[in-house]
Amino acid sequence: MPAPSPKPPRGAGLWLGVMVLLILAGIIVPYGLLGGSEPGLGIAAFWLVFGLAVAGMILAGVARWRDKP
Amino acid sequence: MIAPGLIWGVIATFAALGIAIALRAARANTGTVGDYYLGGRAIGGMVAGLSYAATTYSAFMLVVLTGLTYRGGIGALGFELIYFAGLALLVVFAPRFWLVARRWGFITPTEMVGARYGDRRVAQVMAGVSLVFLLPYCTTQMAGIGLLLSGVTGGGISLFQAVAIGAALAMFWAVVAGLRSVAWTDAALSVVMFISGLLAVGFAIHALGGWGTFVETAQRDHGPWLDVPGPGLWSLGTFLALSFPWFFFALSNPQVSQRLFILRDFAAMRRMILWVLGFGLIITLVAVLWGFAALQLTPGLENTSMATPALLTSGAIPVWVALLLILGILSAAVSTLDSIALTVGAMVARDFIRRERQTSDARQIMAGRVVMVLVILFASYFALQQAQIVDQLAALSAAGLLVAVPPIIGAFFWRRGTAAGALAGMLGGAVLAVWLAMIQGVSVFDPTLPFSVAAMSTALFIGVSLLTRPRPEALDFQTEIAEALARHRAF
Repeated sequence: MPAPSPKPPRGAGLWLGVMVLLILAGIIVPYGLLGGSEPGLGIAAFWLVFGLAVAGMILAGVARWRDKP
Repeated sequence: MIAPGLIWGVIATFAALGIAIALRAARANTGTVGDYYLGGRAIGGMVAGLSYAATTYSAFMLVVLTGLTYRGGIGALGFELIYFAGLALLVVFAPRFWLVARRWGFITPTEMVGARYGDRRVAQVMAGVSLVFLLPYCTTQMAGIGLLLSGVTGGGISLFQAVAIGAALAMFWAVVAGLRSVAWTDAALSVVMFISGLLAVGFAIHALGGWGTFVETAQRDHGPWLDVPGPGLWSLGTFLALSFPWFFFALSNPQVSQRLFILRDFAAMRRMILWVLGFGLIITLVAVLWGFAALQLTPGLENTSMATPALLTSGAIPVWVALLLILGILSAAVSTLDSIALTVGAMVARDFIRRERQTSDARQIMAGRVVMVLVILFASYFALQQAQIVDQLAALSAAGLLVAVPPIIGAFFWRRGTAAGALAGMLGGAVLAVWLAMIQGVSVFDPTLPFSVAAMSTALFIGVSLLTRPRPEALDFQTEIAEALARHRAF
């Protein structure tokens, strides 16, 4: 009988949820909301912010690591 | 055009520097398998991060991504940033890979997955699938070197000469001292790529009248390129077809995931990820801006993969910056090539040749070296032949390598996964990928291809696992590393 899986650490579900939403937004917002309008910098700016947000989320994910337990 | 003599001079300097680094790395090696293939598992965060970046951000960035921007516009940025978002997988998987590799002494990711399911055939099939799809990818790196050097010299440097120099450098750096020389040269070369990219795009925008004029011209003359689907390339289907398999690159490509085994400790792991993040975001922006600059400075190219050579020889970029960027792109191609060769060598040595307690470290290293030479010779030969089947397999590589993802995720999150399920998923998915792309003619720009492959390999993995039982010798990663994960406060 395998041991039960330990509960995921606090914040794991939230981090994962935000990450999934962020990635979906990276596709839906440019293609569903911004695409096809007057040529401008809206999509480029959105994707730039998206890239920074992804980097921020990854930073938040690794910042909690304890190096020497 | 740039004089071939100038390029040869720069390459000679670059080769001398790389050879010095490789020889210094060789002196640090102790002769064990762990030392040769993983740098003694003692690589620091900065070198590991730059090496990871150089391996993952290949010549693709400043040749292919630039060409995709030239042809289709801003969608290229979104595609590459979805790929960048795939680095989030490292937050979850990097600690797991590192902990199990330390605990059981794994050298390759395929060996790790095989041990998890208690069946060496799983490792061998995963290694085989990687070989089938990665070798043609190596060929495209070689072809990229040829395209660039012959393009900027107007044929003054032939395809054969370009391929020969790339092969010689990759072979020397990988064979001499294994991972340590690959990682050290990667780190140095990634700095060249980064600085040269920034300088080149800076000079290109300056030549266009500065940032404000550059943006105004883009909006006025190339408005559709700032939109999606843009002038035609980036339909939602194409965007998904390219982004979806590339998102999983950090898991599906063993030459990248093996980098997670080389780290000294958790602090180095965090630093590695930070270096990759910074490098990746900036080089992505540079590649896309470079594509837009090419669109303005060298309009009307029929072959968009020639955008970079055309821009470099347009007169807008000072020759010394062009030479530096050529070096940067050459570096990126060589570092991707030698990393793949090293990982393929390690997979063959560990998953096919090694027998428990019977195969010495020296023999495993020698076997790996022979395989590395063969991989690089293969890539060189087919780059010169320009064989269509190799191009098709290379284009298919991202979708094909997806078949490794379900058993890797299952290894850490699903105890019920079995060896039979892993084998069925990988073989079924790989056969479907080849059948769809090469027999049915489904394009890599068609989302049917990656989504069908992912669905087939996942369904077979789950279905066959539920119909079979885990092998008694299977390892329970989840239980064994749960405490260590909690102590490190990793997700």
